Amino acid sequence: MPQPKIRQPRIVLVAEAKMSKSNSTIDSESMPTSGQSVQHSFWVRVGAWALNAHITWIVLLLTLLATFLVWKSAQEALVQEQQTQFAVYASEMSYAVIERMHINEQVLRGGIGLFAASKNVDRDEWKKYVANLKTYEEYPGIQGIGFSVHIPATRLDAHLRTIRAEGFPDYAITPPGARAEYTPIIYFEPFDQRALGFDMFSEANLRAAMERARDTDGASVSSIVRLVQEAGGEVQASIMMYLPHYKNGAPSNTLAERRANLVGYVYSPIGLSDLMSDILGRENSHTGARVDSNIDVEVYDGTLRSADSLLFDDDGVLDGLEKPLAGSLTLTKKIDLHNNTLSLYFTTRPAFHAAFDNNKPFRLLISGMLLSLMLSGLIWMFAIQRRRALELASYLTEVDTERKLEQDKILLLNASLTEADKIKDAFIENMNHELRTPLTSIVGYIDLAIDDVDAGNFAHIASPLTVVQRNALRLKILIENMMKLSKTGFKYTPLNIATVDVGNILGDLIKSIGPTAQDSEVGLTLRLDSPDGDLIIDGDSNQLGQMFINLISNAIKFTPRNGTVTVVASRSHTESDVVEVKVQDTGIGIPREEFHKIFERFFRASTAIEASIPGVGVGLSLAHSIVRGHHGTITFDSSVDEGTVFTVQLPTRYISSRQIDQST
Amino acid sequence: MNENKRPIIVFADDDRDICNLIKIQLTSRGFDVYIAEDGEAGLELVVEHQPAIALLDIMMPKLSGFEVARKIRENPALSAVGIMLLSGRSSDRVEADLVGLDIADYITKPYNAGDLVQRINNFINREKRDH
Repeated sequence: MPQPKIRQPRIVLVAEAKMSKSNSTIDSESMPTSGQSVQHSFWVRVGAWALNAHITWIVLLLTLLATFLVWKSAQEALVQEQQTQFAVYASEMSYAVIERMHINEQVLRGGIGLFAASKNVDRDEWKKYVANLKTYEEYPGIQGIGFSVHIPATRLDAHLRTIRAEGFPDYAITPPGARAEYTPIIYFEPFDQRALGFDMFSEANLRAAMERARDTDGASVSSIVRLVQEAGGEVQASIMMYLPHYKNGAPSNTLAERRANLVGYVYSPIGLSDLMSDILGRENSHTGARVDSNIDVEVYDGTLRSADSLLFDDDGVLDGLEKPLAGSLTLTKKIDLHNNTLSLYFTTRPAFHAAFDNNKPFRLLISGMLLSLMLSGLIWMFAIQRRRALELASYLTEVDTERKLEQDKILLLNASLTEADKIKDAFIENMNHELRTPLTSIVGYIDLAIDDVDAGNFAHIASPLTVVQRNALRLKILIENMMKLSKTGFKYTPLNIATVDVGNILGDLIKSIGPTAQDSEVGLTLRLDSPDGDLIIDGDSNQLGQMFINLISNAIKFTPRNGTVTVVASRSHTESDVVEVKVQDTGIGIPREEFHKIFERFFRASTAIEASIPGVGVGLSLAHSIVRGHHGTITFDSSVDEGTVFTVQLPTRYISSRQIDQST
Repeated sequence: MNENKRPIIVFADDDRDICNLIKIQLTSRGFDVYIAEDGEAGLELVVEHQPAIALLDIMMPKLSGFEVARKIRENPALSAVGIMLLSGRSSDRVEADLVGLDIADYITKPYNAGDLVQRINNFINREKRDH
């Protein structure tokens, strides 16, 4: 029965081991390959789930089951112990009775021996012999030892004379009457007058026992008799034991010889009440039988129990005739006494059972249940602690994750700061280049012009000065952009609003920037698709000029040799009060993934950087800012290696009350 | 190198004004000058004319000054060509040192014409002494 108790944890342990293995290899060998392993892993999971979710209940159940089993077995052991003790007691008592019978037989054999050793045993000798035995005192129940002599009717008179001559002049054989043979008691010690002359052969019961003894040359026991010779007291149920005495020197081998040579019988009445009381009433060193007042003993004659056959009862309650009490134990021991049978009927009294530790199973049950509860409670606490630990672990993991997220943010911020730093460095480097390049030309061509002046060669002086002028313009645009940047940081600059003609602004710009386009071998075209006056708007002519020159110079800069830049100004087709300017080039283009950054300050398209086209990345930012300042829009479309078109839409009426978000 | 011949200079810069300026200035000071407006064209001129000095701007379309310099150094036929860099960007000088190319000299824009010529001559004379 403890099997499940042992097996269960084993399964669980296996389950845990398998679980951890499958966890560690879940990535590399995630899929089970056979149905068996699927099943296995299923049970493994079930085991692990049961362990995790219900370990407290499982432990409680198992320990309660174990407690129940222990309780049950303790109860059985208790019953077993009582039965054993009861049976041992009954056996000991039975043996004690048998022992007494043996002792009695030995005593009688001593009497036979006395007769065998003497020619004649007279009354006095018998008296001394019995007195020396002290049987009467040592073994209560043996009520005396006597000798009865066999007298055929033919020798009756001689017998009567002999006994009367021994000092019993009134001696007669009782009961009176003429019979074929007599067996009167002639000796009985301790002496009892009433016994003298009693013909035991006249009693059928005794006669049967005597004949048996005579015929078998052995001990024989009679059925129950109520002894007559007992002085005064109650008539006690007794049995008589006989041993035959044959003529000394005569054979007694055959039945005929034994019958022919019989002299008489040595006999002893045994009072069962005295016998049993003695056996029960004291600890007998011979038998080792112990007194146990908690066990009732009754002795019955024969095998059937009845009031008539009752020989001994020590408490007046005939348990043997009643139905046994619930919970009490009963046992019958049969004792064969040569030709007779005694039944010893044992019954336990309640006190017998009370003497045992009857509460032991209950105590085991209670303490087992307590232990079970304590163990379960302990495991429950462990489970709670484990869950808390897991929760804590998961919380710490969360904290860790948050910390990592914070770290990531910091790293990201750091990266963007590093990126910003790079942009700043690149900007400064680019500015350096953008300033130095035109300056180099200005310085160099002024030198050339001076050389011309020195040489008096005034005819050619215009040529270097034109270059100086062009580069000075380039510097001017750059510096204006920078000034706007530094002053406003892209904040909205107050506009000097006036009525301006976009067509005129563009016309002036094309004139000034035209030589640059020519130098770059880029075709620059301006088209004004509108009647006169249609391109007049409210605006700041300086800022609009700066915006357009950024767009157009950018277009020229990013357009390879032999490309074209086309500027088209018109009224919008969709909105009547909007002037639209498109600046279209056939340049290197802007990658689509960079569209969203194109108006960012200092941003330079990757195509520009790869082509080593110088710049600082502020032109489009400024243009965007200026268009927004005029409440207009600037949009673009571009394809790499095909070209870019910027579309600026400006409202014709500037509504000053429209306060807009000034940030770009 | 024949002393009677004028030393050849190849100059590459994407700014046409500067190209023209250099050509005027160096031609008047006794050099044969070939100019290119991008790195690729500049390298072709170097291969074609095997100049005493290749004077290179850094920031150029198609091939940067560094790339041209590397390609010159990779070509054994051009081992005699001296390389000078002309740039406005201070970081270019640092980078030039880091690349490990054999750069003869480094000139910052805007340059002084006399100074430029003297540096070119110094290099050519040094080369003459060594050979």
